[in-house]
Amino acid sequence: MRTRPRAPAGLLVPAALAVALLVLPFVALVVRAPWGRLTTTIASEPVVEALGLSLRCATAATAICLVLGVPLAWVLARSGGWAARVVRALVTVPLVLPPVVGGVALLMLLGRVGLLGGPLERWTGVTLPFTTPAVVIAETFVALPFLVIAVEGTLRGLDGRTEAAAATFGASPWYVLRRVTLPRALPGIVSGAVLAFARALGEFGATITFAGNFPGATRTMPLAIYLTMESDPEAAIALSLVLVAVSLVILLALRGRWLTGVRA
Amino acid sequence: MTATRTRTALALLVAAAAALAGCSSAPGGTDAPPGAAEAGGDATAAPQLTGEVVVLAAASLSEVFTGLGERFEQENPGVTVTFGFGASSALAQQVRAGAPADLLATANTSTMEQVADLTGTPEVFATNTLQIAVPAGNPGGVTGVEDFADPDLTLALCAAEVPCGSAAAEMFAAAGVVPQPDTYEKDVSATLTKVVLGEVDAAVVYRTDVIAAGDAVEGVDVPEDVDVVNDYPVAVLADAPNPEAAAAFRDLVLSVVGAEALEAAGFVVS
Amino acid sequence: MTGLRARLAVRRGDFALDVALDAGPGEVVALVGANGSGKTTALHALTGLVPAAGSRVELAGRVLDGDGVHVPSAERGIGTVFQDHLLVPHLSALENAAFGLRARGVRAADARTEAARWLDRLGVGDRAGVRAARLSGGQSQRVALARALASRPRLLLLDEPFSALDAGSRAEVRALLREHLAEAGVPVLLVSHDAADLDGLADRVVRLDRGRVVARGATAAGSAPGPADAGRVGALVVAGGAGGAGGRAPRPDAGPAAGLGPVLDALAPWPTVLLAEHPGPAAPDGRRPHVRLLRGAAGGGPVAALAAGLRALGDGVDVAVVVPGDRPGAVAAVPRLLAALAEHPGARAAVALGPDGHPQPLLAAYRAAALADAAAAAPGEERSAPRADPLLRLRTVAPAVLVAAPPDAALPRRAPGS
Repeated sequence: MRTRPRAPAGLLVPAALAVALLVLPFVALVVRAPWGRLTTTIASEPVVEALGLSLRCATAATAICLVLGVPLAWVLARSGGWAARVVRALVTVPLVLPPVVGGVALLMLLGRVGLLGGPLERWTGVTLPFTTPAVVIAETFVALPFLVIAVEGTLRGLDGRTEAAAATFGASPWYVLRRVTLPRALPGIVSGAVLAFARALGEFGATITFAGNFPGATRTMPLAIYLTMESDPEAAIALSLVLVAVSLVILLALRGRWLTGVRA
Repeated sequence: MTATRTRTALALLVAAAAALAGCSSAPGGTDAPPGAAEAGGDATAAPQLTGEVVVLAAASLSEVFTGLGERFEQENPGVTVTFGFGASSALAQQVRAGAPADLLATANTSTMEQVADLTGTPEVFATNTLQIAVPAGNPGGVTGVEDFADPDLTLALCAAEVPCGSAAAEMFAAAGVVPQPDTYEKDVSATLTKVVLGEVDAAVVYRTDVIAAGDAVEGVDVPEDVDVVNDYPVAVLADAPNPEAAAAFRDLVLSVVGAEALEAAGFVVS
Repeated sequence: MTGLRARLAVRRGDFALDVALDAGPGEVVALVGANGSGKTTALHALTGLVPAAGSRVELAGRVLDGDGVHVPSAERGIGTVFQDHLLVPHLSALENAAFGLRARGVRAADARTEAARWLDRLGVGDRAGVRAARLSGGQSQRVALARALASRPRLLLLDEPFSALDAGSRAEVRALLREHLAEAGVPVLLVSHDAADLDGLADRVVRLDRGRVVARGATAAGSAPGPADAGRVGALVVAGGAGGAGGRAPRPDAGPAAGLGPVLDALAPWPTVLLAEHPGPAAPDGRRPHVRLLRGAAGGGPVAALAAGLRALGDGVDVAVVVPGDRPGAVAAVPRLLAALAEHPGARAAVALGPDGHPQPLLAAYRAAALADAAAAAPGEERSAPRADPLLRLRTVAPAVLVAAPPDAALPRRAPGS
């Protein structure tokens, strides 16, 4: 006896199209890849450099997102007023913004003559554009909303009675946060971190506008692929495959309950 | 019964796809032979042109071509000119990938050669030379090509893959300077923007870009013996949907009117 | 005074809790009452989980609430077993039991040792390493008990602590608890529906109804099904002679109201209407806020007077107990009358039998509808037939349960202000 009603056949067609749309481009990528030159291309210095830079920056950006985003998510989850609603809407803005706009905005703020960047340069001589930290900043800017939204959703789903009960046994708010709330929220936090990492890894528009493009310092994989496409399309395909493979490895390593359960 | 439903759905989808494919813009042709509209020709003698003309042009041509496009539309009311500006190498890639364009104008001949099999005969219509651009006030105190070897200055160059970048590389080689840039921008417009915003102390762009940027940017000349001259070719694409109008626009570019506009922008027309 | 002294005042929406509770060191006080009567709210108010402005709570000589002071729940030193135990799901049973100790800074190793000891004593030592989310209901409850006991509390609040245990385990855990509580000298408030819990553990019973204490007593009396099970209760006190022995017509306005005061006190906090012309010293004043005086009801006869009194009680009454105002000891029959009415949902009245075996309609519990109906039937009849039994209509309320009334008892002395 069937336990679930069968989906109407009409649904299967659009579903199949959706799968095709998502999968076929990668199939084409694999088919057109220059398999002969793949290893030499991937092992070449510029590629290794770009890939290493991408992974380092994305990791740093994710770490910053965790340090800044989890507290923000906690505050938003526990607050109810109109101020919380406004903040939540603002935090979501980078999600809907074209990344280039984000890059321009960052330049206006932190550029050499920017609102904060100008004073920074005058007082400390430090400029941010065209440096690796600028890449991390740009990636954090676009990835942070993903993490905040995922973690806030998880925290809201936890009912506070366990925490309240734990508190009656003498636990300070920090103790409760550390031993009760955060562990319960862990699946959502991991999920958010994975999303943030993936978004940071693929970031292009804000990076190229704010951090520029210099091999080793700011030429991340997406930038390298974009520019290589103009001079050596086959190499660009090879690089694209590398990025796809890296992303797949990350997603597979964190499969199952970490990704499917945003709710704790 | 479900099998029939699936088949019907599939059939509908195929029909929809076919309808969409057929919905490309209809080329506006005329019956007049292409040779009738030659350079500098009397507009009233030429037959009426209609439809859309898609022109892909190097980033450094954006202001000049936009002006010429408006003039072309005034003279040929039935025609709309649409531009795509960007790094020449990017545009060449688009043409190779089958972009539905009519005309291509690049910032050097080697890029045009990359797609020689897809275009008609290219004709050079202007040349451009390099110039150093600095933000208004020259905060970095840049005086010449040698300053590009200074690691303490914040410098921008075009990426080596684009014409402006390869020309700059040639120039530095000729001058014996090893540049220490902080960023390679994806096309000359992006490079110029960094100067305009004051984010870099200097960049190597085209003379025309310095002129186009007006007061925001000052130019520092490059010594003539090391300067690199880029030839700008234009060609009608072989698969152009609207070859007559494309040829007409090309002719405008090559005409006296076009030459005046180009020279006013800083190009050199021989 | 090292125990608990609490006067709780909580307002949540429509619900108001106004309860005085105290428990001496080592004393187990059971809180009983129907769902919604406020037992859990009272516990939460003591732990500080519910805002309770206007409450006064003193524990072990320290003011937790009151005098402008509100000690946060983490610092109260109260160990609670919650109804749904609320263990931390990702921690092991051992870590949960040790939680209270570690949270207060006890070294992890020491805390775990003590917690393990408690888990063993409660019979779940073998589950120490199991994550709380994987424990069965009974095991979770024992771990919750261990957590509360191990945290060295100054007050224990147990909310249905054995509900998930089977009878045998219950007896075992109860015995353990009894033993420990005696030596620990900690006051305990226990919420339970189980009579065996009350018999086995409780020293005293406090019954709540609609946020108020309605009965206090030794276990037997307090655990009997009572007012909360019959519905909302209101009281009508007929001052003057009651139709006790024989069918003598009572005259609601006759006689001194000597016994009136204690009767009214014993009926607190049920809303009470006093049917009397001359209440004398029992005149309602601030001391008896639950009492209203209704004059001028005597004219139409006792039944009409009762009907008027019922109307004065208002809509919020399901059961009206009628009590003669000159026999304080008769009040002792009231719990039995209400119990009888609760046990016989089809009965419209529970009437006490006098020592002569005759039913006494003026010492009875009537369902409100029954009283209203009796009054409505031919209202003018009594006046037109003065020699007829003025209580005829009450006597004929059917179906009625007859309850043997206990001999008039001395009323328990009430502490002033409780």
